[in-house]
Amino acid sequence: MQRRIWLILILIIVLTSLLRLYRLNHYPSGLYSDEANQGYNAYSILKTGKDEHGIFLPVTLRSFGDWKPPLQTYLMIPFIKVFGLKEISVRLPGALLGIFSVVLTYFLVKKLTGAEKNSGKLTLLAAFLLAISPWHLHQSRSVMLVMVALFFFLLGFYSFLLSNKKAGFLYLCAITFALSIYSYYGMRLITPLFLLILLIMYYSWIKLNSKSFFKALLLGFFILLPLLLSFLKEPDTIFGRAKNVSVFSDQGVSLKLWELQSQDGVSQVRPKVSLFFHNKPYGYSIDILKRFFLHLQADFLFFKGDTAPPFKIPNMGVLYITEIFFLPVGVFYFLKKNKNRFVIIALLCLSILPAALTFMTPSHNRSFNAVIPLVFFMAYGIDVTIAKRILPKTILAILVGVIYLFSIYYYLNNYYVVLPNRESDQWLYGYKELVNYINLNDVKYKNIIFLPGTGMAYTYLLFYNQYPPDLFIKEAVRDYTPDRFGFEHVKGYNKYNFFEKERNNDQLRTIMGEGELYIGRENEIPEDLTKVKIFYPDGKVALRIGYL
Amino acid sequence: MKINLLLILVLGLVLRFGYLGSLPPSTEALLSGRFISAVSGFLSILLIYLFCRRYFNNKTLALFSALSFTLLPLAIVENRINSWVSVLNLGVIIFFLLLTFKNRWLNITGLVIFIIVVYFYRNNLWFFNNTLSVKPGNFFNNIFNLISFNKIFFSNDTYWAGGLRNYGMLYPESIILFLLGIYQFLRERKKLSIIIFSLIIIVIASASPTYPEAREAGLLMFPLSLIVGIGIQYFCEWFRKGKKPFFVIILTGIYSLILLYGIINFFHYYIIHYKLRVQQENLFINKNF
Repeated sequence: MQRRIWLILILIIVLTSLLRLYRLNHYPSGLYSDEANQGYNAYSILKTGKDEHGIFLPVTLRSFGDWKPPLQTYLMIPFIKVFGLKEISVRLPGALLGIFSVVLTYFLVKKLTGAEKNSGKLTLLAAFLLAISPWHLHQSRSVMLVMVALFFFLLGFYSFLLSNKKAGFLYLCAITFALSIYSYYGMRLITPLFLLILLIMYYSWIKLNSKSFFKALLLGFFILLPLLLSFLKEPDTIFGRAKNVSVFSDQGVSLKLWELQSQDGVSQVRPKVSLFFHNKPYGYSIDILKRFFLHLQADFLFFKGDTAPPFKIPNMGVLYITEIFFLPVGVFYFLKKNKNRFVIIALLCLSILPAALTFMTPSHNRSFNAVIPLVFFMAYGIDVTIAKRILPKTILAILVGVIYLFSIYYYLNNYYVVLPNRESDQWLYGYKELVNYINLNDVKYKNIIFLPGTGMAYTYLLFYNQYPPDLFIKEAVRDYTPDRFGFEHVKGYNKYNFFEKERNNDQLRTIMGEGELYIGRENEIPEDLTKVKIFYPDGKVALRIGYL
Repeated sequence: MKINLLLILVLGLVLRFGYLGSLPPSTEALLSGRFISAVSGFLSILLIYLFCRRYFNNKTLALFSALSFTLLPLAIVENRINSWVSVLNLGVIIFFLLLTFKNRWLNITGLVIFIIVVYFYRNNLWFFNNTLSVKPGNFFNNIFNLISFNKIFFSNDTYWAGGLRNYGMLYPESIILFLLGIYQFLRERKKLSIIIFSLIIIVIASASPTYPEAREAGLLMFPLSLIVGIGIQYFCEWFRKGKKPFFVIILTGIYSLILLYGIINFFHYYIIHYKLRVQQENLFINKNF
């Protein structure tokens, strides 16, 4: 029996690896700006010990002014050393950790379900469902920080559970939980709160191992010390971009409250009474609650997912539609029977909390940790459905298998055909081709100007040209003024200039000079000035190149 | 127990009949229709109590369900306008109540009353006047929209006159009670008839060619009040079982205050903001209002 389980697990690992490593450098098509930027920063640290801003061994990457947590970038360094600065080196750490997280989930579910008689099937099911999960696959194959965070978080959780038998695992728990905080912003909320819940749940045996626990806590604190010290120097290192996307920076709630208070005024309600009913704490609480539950609605989970690029999976949600039955069944039966239900529910709620605190909801990325409890529930749901014997067990198992086969095919078609061919703009396709063109022709031009629609084009120039980091640190012209989204731009380096101000066609005609190359999006360079076009795979224009 | 029921009925009386002609604003011609709705709503409170007494054999649950219906945002909105949904809802409750008796003639009487009410309001029910024209994709979309957290707790995306835009069918603060209630509800199979009824209403409303303006969804106020009532009872039973740590008692107290605050906030919104909107948009000109 045990041998059979190991064999199936190995097959699941093979499948997991195949799905995550297959043509990783080509799919998704196009390197997203965050991916290219992290890759270049890793390259810069490898070569000079400093990031693109000249900061030595940063504990937070300033990047585009969004202060990215650095762990994923540091993990890229050995791969860049071996493979060079390429798409594969940038994406491989996340993909590998995605594979390891599937294995980890197997052991975690086994630990959580304890000695239940179906634990073999349940654990394998959970690992399999995570292996084929569209949500998990999408994040494993990209560099959006959350895959690294999930792995270290799961390892921390598993180590904590193991420390019941051997207190030494508490040290591994401390290290990995601390590393998860270096991985992603959301973990700065999730990890401490989850640790608190674990303390409450398992207080009795922590009390027995209190010395080890406090030593481990101290170890975790020391690992986090550089981050805490950097906060004293630069407050943005702790929360960075979070403050630009938080609900509290969105005017929606404030405007609504203002409207209601004005109506109270018209109805001659006393100001203090009006404030009692219409106040920011209540207004924001309801708003956050609403955003929280958006992540548990069928629209997000099964039909549309996150529509914001680059997290959109065309024509589907973050889970397979076939799981629409198994998920509620799994939740129901799990809550009925399992002694660890509170921990899993707490994990689900905490996973969604960071996303609920932003105004860009529902969010595929910020609620990513929720994939683990959801997969757990779905595995439970399938296990229970088969055990209930509505149909003979074998027939039911085959039916479930066939349904999943179709679902996986549907997802793979959307991911490998629809997404790169019809929605490659999501992944900012075209910059590699642009850099190749510029490299072939740049001797002809004394200035190469990028119009605002090209976004963070500088990062692609650096990445694909493997521009010497020490040179870029000296040459880069920046004023560190954030735009309305909170991003900081490079104004220029070498002969490259990056316009921030939008210009219409007439203005462009006036300023264009001889020996200058202009690069812009579809609506930025008129047809008569466009000499070269870079197309998306579906034939639409990605970038225009113009010169006199 | 009787005093509790009396208090709930008095509350129901106030909430259904208090300022009925002016809240929301109205014309004299509408008063008779509104009065019928209010009477239906008030009677529904008593009948829900009686139904729960018999169906669940539990007086406390019956009180909680009746209280839940008394305070239900959807019920308050429907019971205070000229609403066929209120009357049809009463017919549904009578039907279920009479079904709880072992007497066949009472069962048949309940069914007949239900059929009469449905027939009387057949012009308002889409399936009497239209053919099924909703596309399968839209149908499933509508189902999941109707049972979404957004629709149940947070907002109302309809434009019909009685709807409060910033509220769903239930208070957002009652989410925990609702989830507890659903869980307990599904655990006991003898409540199958209520579950089946709820599913039928969801399907009918989702298949409506006018969705999200499908007023049939208002018939969910009966099962929703049961679910919340069950949730309250489960919560109270859990709280009473064994000695609870101090912080749990504090948290429960805080939650109760938040729930109370949410209910009071709803009534402020109903009395001030909803009234203002109705006045500004002249919604009471609509004869069904």
